[in-house]
Amino acid sequence: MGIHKLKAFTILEVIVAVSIVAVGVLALSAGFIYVKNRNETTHRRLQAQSFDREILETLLITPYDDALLNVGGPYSAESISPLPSCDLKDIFGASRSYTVEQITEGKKITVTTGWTESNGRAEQEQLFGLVIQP
Amino acid sequence: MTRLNSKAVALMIVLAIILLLIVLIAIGIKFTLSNTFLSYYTLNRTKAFYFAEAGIQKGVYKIKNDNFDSETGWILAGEGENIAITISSVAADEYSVLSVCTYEAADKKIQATVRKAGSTAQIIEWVYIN
Repeated sequence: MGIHKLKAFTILEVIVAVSIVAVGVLALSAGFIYVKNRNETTHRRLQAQSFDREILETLLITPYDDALLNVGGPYSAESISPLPSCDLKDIFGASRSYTVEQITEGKKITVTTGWTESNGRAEQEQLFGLVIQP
Repeated sequence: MTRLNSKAVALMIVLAIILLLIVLIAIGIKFTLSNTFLSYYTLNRTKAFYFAEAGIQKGVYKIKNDNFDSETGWILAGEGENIAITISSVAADEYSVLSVCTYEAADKKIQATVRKAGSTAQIIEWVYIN
């Protein structure tokens, strides 16, 4: 076997190979981090929606002429049920409100939970309901 | 082991590690993506549920006002929801209201039996179909 065949990789070959691998792994890692962040935001949306549900369910069984269903808003939902201590509230500053709008069939209720993501982007999750005049 | 063989083994080990790394990251992305899509579906199903429930209320409103026409494409909030309300008579002064809401890729179907008495109408039975 000749000496030429036993020669190791040149430094250039190693640099090129490592660069290609690094770019691939970095791209995959960046993709993973993006997807992970999206996943975390979606989980916050789910939590926000469960907070919306709590208020909407209360308002849907509230008598039509009750003061809680006065047309207008946004009203803070704190008086109905304060947000429990959780990451969404304590870290992302979530707050919950609702509006009541008069439409032909009755009162349209919109419950909104809004928060600010760590990158400064405002997010909100809404649920809608309808209460008709008895 | 000759120098040539040991070099080949080292290369194989490095390639295997790189492959393992890539497969692990890809599995992580796939798992996280599946989780995100499932969460989105759950979010949309819940919204569709409340839109469909509003469709039932709309049906009750119509029956109360002696309007027994079915309706498609009713919009409550303009969020991309599509609500279809079907009213049919099941007995004397009793009506079935079927509300189907399609929202994003999710849909929800709710049925209710409504009893009409004079100028009032009230739900006497709820049926959650899917």
